[in-house]
Amino acid sequence: MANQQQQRMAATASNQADAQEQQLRPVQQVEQDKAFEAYYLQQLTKEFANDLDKLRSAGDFREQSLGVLIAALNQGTACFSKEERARIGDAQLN
Amino acid sequence: MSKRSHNTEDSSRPPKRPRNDDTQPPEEILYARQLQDLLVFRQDGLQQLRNAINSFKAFLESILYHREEPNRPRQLSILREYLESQKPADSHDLDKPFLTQLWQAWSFANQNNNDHFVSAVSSIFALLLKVLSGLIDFKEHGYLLCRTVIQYQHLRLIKRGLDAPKHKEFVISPCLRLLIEVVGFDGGQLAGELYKRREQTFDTNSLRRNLGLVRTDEDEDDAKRRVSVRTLTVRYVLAHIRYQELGDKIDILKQRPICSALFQCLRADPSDVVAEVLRTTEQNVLKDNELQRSSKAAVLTTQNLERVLDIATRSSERDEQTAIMAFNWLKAVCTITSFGIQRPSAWYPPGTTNVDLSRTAKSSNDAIDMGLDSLPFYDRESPVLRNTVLLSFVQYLRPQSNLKERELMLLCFKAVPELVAAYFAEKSSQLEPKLTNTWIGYASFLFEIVNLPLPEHAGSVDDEGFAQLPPQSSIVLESILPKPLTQKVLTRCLNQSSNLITFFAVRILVIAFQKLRQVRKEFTIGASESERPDLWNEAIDRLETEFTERCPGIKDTITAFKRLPDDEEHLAQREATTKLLRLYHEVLPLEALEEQFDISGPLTNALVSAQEASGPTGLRLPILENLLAIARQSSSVRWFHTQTSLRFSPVVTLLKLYLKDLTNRTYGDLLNHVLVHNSILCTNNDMQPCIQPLFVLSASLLDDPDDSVFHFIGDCFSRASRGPIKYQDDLDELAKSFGYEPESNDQVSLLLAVVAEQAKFVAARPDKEQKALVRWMAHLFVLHMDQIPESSLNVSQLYYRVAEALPSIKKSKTKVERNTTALQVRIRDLMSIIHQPASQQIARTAANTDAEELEEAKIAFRSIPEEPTSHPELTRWINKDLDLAFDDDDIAPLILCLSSQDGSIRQQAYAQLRNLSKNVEASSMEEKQQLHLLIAELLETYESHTAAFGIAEPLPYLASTFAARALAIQLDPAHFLYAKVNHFLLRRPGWNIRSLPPYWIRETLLSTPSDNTNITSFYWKEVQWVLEWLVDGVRTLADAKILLRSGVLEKLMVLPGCEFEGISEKAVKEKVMEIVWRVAEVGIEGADGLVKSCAGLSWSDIVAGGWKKGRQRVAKAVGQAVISKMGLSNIKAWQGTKLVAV
Repeated sequence: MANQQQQRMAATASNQADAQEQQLRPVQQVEQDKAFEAYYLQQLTKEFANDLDKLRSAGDFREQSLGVLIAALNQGTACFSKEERARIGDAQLN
Repeated sequence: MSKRSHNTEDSSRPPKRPRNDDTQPPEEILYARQLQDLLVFRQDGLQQLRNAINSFKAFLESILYHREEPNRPRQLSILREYLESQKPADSHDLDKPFLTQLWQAWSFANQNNNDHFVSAVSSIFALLLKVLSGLIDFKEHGYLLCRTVIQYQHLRLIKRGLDAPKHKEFVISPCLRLLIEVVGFDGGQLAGELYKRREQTFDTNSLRRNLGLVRTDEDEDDAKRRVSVRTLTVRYVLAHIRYQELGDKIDILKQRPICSALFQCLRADPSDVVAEVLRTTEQNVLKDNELQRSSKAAVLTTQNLERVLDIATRSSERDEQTAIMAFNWLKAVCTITSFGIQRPSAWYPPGTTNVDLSRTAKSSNDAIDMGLDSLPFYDRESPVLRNTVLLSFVQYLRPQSNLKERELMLLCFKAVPELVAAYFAEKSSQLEPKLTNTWIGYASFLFEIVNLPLPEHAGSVDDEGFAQLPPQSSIVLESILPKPLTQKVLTRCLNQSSNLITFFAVRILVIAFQKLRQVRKEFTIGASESERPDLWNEAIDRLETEFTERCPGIKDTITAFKRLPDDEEHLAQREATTKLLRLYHEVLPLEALEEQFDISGPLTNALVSAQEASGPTGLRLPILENLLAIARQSSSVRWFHTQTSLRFSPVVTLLKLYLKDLTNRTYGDLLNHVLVHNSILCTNNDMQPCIQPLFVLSASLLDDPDDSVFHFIGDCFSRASRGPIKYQDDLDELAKSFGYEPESNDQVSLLLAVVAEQAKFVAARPDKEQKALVRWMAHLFVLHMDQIPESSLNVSQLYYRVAEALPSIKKSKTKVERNTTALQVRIRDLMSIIHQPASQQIARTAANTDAEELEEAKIAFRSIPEEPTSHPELTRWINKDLDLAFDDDDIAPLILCLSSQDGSIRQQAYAQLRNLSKNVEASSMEEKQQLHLLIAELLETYESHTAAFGIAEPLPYLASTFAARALAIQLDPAHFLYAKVNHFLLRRPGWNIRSLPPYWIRETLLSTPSDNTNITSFYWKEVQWVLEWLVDGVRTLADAKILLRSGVLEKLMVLPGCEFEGISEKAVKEKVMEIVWRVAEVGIEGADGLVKSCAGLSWSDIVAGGWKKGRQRVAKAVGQAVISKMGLSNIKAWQGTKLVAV
């Protein structure tokens, strides 16, 4: 169940990232960013599995809550510099 | 509630009473006369007329919907004949208007309150006009009918219909349909006429009431079938907005109740009506540049925006397309200034950008300067807001639970940064930590707020750049740490048992610190451009103080960090927390000093982990970098002390990591910092930044020697750090004993002195270890002497000392020196790796325009040709007649082979040219003497070049391309440079390559042309020839060096500033730009020389300034190429704007 949720979250996050990808960037950079985002989100879902379960069963969990939660987890990528994202993403790709 | 089905058997209700009328089935209309006979009004024959109207209706619908296509021409003919027969004899006769019979019937029914008959007549008029609108041949009849409609007595009938009671929709609707047809007839030609009679046609009260007659119990299909009065009224109002002239449109928009009623029931409207409202308001109101903002604002009230928002984000039953349309409409309204409600405003409320300097205390000596406190408004009053409508709209949004509404809000804040502070000033909510979805939503929304980009020019929206005064710190602070993020709340978040809450708080703080750092930079620029930098500096201090008061102390972050286990399950949290600690140290160092944080333990663990995994991976890499950055600021780290858990001391471990990832600036900078700070490596700002002792040390270790070397280096580091004075004395004594000045040791690292001292102990080590150490030492000394020639004398003496203790090093040294190519390759590789991030950084930090500029340069200038892998030109000429070989241009490529990087190709080319020279001499060619002379001189030049620089050095392309181009001139005696080239060839048997460019510059640019017939024209032709040759000739670093050292570039760089007559300015300027660009492109030393010797960067800016806009980019691109090649940090270091790592 937790795995399915993680996969679902990762898939939704990936779609959101695609939609936000408005600026034209080199293909390599886009791939690195995507790989980094997927890795980062996977790491977070692993680290906070218990807290995320609690949120899912909380009384204020609505239909839109999942999207908000994924966006919230994913926004942390902004704390990383482009170089860091590229470096870690690149390592994930290889 | 939907209508009952016909088939439903409902016994509880009495059966429906059958309608008692004489309704007959419609009669087929076969000729016009039939219509004339049927459509006759008689007071006693209303039922017959009604039947006739039904027949006419069926006839018109058949035309309108093309039901009988074969009969259509006949039907149109009948209609025309009938309408012709109904035309009045006198158009001004109000008693007998067009279609008199029907108007009389309407009037009679009206007098007798026969609503059903009124509905039938008005419907037939609306239908007839609709039919006529679609038929271009009936335009005249349409106009006639419209003009009849807008006659006063007829408008009175219509008005009565519009004002009918609410439940009589069947009366109101046909009148509205008729008016809609009149407004839109022939592209709205009569809309103005209709609006003139607005008492009858556009009565506000009536329209407002009708706009409220919405049917809420219908689904989309029913609504399409039975159009409601509201829908028709909306279409009628929109038709007016669409077709009225500016004045009438303004007048309509002034009627606020109508604008409000238009949007009021939007939620219940069918999708097509919503789309029509949004499309018409956008196209015909918001995008109408002639309309004033105040008129547009009538549509954009907060309530109207809220109603559109309901459609966009809160209406679950609405189809997706309409929701997207509404959302895009809102986005446009909130961000486009010309749409009316968005006014540009960032961090300066009106009137706070400037102050009368003559009245401030600073300018008068007798008053005390109170700084920002002397400004009456600064951080005192609640700021005046320019975007009040947007503020009340954003208050309505729910960014914490709806991502679309969050997006909209962030767009508003991005477009109008003044809203951020105002929004939080009115919101009283706090972020009390509790693991709920609401808290997560709110925290992530606040993260997005903090993550918003800084407004340009520190929030000044004036075109002039930075304002004279700084923005108010209370306003700026809300964008960095908004009001709900109080110190108390954040501290509680950091001390929560829920890791997720702590993590979110840490991330917000990370982004806030990063933003504070950006703001500080921006304020520093603002201060440098302001007449009152003191105020800006005071504002920075004030902002930092307020920030410190709002953010939690470092001790809470340290506690949170200590709580986190160092395992794979907490990597993201450790990364975020270490980043926050790093930012505390970098951004607010004084705050960081308040709490002792022993970084040694975590750093050692991170180094151990990195060492075991042969380099950190994933999030472990930024964690290690963060810890290293903190350690740099800390005095508690024992860099040279070997610990039990680490195989080497921290600094040697770091050195090993650096050797694996030479692009990592954190490693490099920290190593430099530690080793220089402890006087182990020297530094000198005069040196090229890349040629630092660390660079030499790294280059000496690229072979990945075994651990004994690193243990030895660690030992040397440790000894040097413990007794730097002892080793410095050793060096000074050494210098003294050889009669050198003690200052000559400035560029000799203590490491070398320690190595020299320890060499005698190396002799006692086992063979394998000794060999590895000797090999490393040989590399170290050779590289030192080669790369830092200023220190070579002293280093040589140290080397001799080592050689005394370790004689085997002489062999190693000779081996290293013999293999100079390998050494140079090693240096080049290292430099390219080390400089890679700098160039990438440039590409990344430069805005898109810079990337475009670089791209444009590539397009504008030909890329430097690369040497082909095969060289068929070596033998191509042999198979042809000599004349033909010259004519086919086979010799020029052969000449260029003398500059090949491959020594064997050069040798073959030399042999072939020698043969060619003999053949030419023996041939009967007319130009044989000149050609022979040229080739002989070229060969002579090549020989003397190899004699001077060694056989490994290819002939510079400047020489070979010159020869190839001179060859073409020798074959064409009419060439404008023929005389000058021959004169040049007769001077000497060989050429001095370094003098070649200056000679030709002197002979062309600074001389008169050989051909006196048209001096200007030939002058520029000669100059152009030289420029083209130089462009072609600069292909390698050797060529660039010739230009740089001979002073030719400076002379050429003057050219873009000259007056141009008789030649296209572009032809000369661009050629010069291309030469400069190539000099930068061929290597870092080229770019370096351009910046340091020729002021290349300022020059490209000056040239760009003098060019037209379209070409400016090309000039700027040259500057960009220089920057990207040399590296921004190196340029800054040279300019003195950044200190080299000390």
